[in-house]
Amino acid sequence: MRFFGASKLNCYLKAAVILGIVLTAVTVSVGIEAERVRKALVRIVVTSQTPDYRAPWKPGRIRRGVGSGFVIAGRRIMTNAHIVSNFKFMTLDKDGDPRKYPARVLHVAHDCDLALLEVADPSFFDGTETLEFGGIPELHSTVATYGYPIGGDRMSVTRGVVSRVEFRSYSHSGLDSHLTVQIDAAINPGNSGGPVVQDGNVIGVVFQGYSGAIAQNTGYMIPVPVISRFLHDINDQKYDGYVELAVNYINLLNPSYRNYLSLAPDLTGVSVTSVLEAGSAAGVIYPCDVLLKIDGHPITNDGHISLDGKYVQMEEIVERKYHGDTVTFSILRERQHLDVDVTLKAAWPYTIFTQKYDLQPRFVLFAGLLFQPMSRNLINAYKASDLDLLYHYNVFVTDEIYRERPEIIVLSDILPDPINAYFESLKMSMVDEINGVTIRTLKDVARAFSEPADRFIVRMVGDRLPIVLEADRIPVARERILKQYQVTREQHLGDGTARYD
Amino acid sequence: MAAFAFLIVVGNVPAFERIPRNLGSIFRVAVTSQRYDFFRPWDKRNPSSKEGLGILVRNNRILVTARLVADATYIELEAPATGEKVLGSVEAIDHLADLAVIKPEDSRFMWRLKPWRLQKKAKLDDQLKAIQFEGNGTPIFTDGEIKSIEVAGYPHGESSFLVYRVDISLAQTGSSFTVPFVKRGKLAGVLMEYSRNSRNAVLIPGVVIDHFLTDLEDGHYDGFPRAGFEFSPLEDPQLRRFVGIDDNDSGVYITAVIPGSGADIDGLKPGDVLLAIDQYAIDKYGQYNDKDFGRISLAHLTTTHAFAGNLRNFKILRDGQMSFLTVHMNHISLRDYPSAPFVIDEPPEYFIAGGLVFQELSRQYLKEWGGNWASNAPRRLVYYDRHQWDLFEPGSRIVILSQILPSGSNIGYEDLRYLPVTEVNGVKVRRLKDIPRALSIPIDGFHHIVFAENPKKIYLEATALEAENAVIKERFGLTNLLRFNDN
Repeated sequence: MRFFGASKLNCYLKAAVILGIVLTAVTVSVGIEAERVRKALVRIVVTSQTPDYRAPWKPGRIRRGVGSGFVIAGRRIMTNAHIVSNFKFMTLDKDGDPRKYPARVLHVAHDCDLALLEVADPSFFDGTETLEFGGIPELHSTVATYGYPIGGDRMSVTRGVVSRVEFRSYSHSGLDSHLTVQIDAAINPGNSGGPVVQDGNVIGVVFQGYSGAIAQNTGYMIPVPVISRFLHDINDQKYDGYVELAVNYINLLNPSYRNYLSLAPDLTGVSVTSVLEAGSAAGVIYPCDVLLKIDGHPITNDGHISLDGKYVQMEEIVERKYHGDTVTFSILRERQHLDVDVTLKAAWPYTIFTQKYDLQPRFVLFAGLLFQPMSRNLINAYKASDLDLLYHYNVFVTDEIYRERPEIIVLSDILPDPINAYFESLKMSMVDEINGVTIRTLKDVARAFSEPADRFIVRMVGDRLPIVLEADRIPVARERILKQYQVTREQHLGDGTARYD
Repeated sequence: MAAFAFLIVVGNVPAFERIPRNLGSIFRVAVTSQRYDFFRPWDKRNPSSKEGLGILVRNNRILVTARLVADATYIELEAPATGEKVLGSVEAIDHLADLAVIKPEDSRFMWRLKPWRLQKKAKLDDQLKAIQFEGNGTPIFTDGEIKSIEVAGYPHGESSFLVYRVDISLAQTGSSFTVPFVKRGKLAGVLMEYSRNSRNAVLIPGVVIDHFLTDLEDGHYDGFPRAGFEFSPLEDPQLRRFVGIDDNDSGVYITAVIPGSGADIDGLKPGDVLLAIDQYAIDKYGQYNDKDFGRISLAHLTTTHAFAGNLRNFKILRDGQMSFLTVHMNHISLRDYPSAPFVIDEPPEYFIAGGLVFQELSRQYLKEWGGNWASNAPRRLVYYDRHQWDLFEPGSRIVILSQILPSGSNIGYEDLRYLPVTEVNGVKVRRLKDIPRALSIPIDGFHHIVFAENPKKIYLEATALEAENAVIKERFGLTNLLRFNDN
């Protein structure tokens, strides 16, 4: 079977204005591709339950959402992580089949917004097609998107050209940036998770766009290098996620800086300004090192390399690597050339900035005082505006706050009760110590409150009043609060695998 | 002459009772002011004009609110009745108390005029009369009632003094700067803020004005003192028992002490409970019973009630033990602030080297981010300003690389901005003047500039920097590459 590429298709359509005969031929070929994709395409109906960070003992709000996905090799269905986040129940629909097939998440990668689903019922795959992956499309080449967006119930196809290929932030996690491809095909809610097809192969997964109010005809897809990385990462049946160099550097475009380092004009690279102590490069790369080459690729003075004929940021090398892989840098340290190997891992302090899914919020509730570790979810849920809190959040990594306090514990809310009637002004402040013990993690809070004491004295960071809780008043207050506010659980400390080390 | 003209006008409105006399001693003040642009510290903004009133008070001084004459370049006084005009200049100004006095160029202007005397006491429900003028000089009188007397924040948010809140419907004429409010022929206060929607006028009361004028009498203005501590109410019975108070209503909790202040030097500590100042018992909300104003905040005792250098006796509870501290009430000078709460009437200092623009951090600079500056300005700078007393030594300053004027020698650095500078060429930077001093001693021909955050450190060739200065001056049309206010 022969498939017409999208770019050829474009030419044919121009010709079609003149020659009616060709038009027929094109229709057939488009029809073939569409028919094949139709057989691979699924509509995903997800019932999810989003944890409520403002009432973390509750199971959360139940919502139903719809997205798209497609069948790939190995009887798996690919879609976006954001479609299946916090899912409780999910069914797959196929076009022309009234049955609803329950499915579950096999692997989910929130850092690159991809997920793989599996279906228990083998008959689901009767009559389905399996889509293969292509490469990175050329600028201005034509692509087609398939999915189940709003505006109707049947499969929708839209067409557009590739507008831009670049690193962009992935809004699902709120922190990660990876390669994206921007297309001008109409993309609407429900398109997410659907394939973008060129030459009969999948060249991307639709995942985000702008609302029409901000920008039009601007949709983004996850390109094949990111998809391949995900599929390779889960080969061991476990998704480890992206690794980070966790190194800051400054460009070497400045002539004075270059002269200071006595760099020969033909020597290019970037100069390291800081190395995250909890990151991969700690103890291997140091501030003032000049990074000249990464895995043999010469680094330009503004941190780019040439990779597969494309001019990309040097981080692209690390992007394509996995936990435990090494990356080799040629560096200049104190005018000496040397090669160093960095064994790559994730940089846990950064996870404070990522939106979390599929996890129950961690908290301690004591005498109506709700203590939670600072996180992006927390900041969003409470629309936090306390300037000191936001400052500590912002500089958590750069100022290495995490070394002192792997978690910043926030008095996030108060369930009003006579025992805590005067603490309102302390909401959203950060806990410094309880009964003289410095609070470094949520577990410290739970431990401090479980120690026998006449009274608990909670001191906050900054010039604030201390909280005094008299132990003999607590049991009665506790009963009252649990009943009054229907609190079913007083703490959730996590599964023991702390996210810090 | 002026007084005579008013008598005629007043005669036309017999319906008012207790029509204030002495209207001839109230002037119209027209001010042209020009603020500096802290994002372009070498530039002034376009001039703007303001109008308000000025009130003749003792010693031939004309009282206005400080905000009327802030950054003034031209001040004109006019007698509303006669239209007679004379130039004036600011003799003394206190931005924290929002008060200033103007001196007319020609003192004959005030010849035979009677100064207003101050009414220094007030109580709730007192009737006050506001005096405004129509464009043609006709006075407008409006009556209002004092709804509350309390200590509240003044415009710069840095100080709290007594205010009267008056329920009144002021006429929509001219500007409301320094509208006088009188009681029984005396000046009870001047308008500081007015909200037309809630009909709420906030007045600077006579007692604060009197402090300002009295301070001036020896020819040297010291400024309002403060003890230099912050406190929180001690409401929670659990906390009260913890700190060892056995009654139900006394004492406040000291949460912070400003380094170098009287409170600091004389031994007050965070965690102390303040029970009394002199003979005045402090309640758990921080209030005492004032013989003139009733229950008001203790801040009145340490500011308006005292002059710089006075002593106050603090009764405190520390670790459950009662003791007494003799605390100096000192004025905290603007020069002591690591980040000045305002920079008004003097241009911002700056220093440009090789296109790198260095400035001292101030709240005035942060306010360039607009009404919501605390959320919009760079977080680190806002944090430094908020916590300046904890983070920096009194009297030292926070120097920032505010921006870079692009040039050949600074290529690659052009995106650096809002970066606190900690060290230059091995010299710790504690004020802007340290920058030129440090740049005069490059290390092996290079300048090393160290920041509090990434990129942490940059290098510049000393010769390149020198060579580029003239080019940058020319290119961006700067008249000067630096400004230091001599003080």
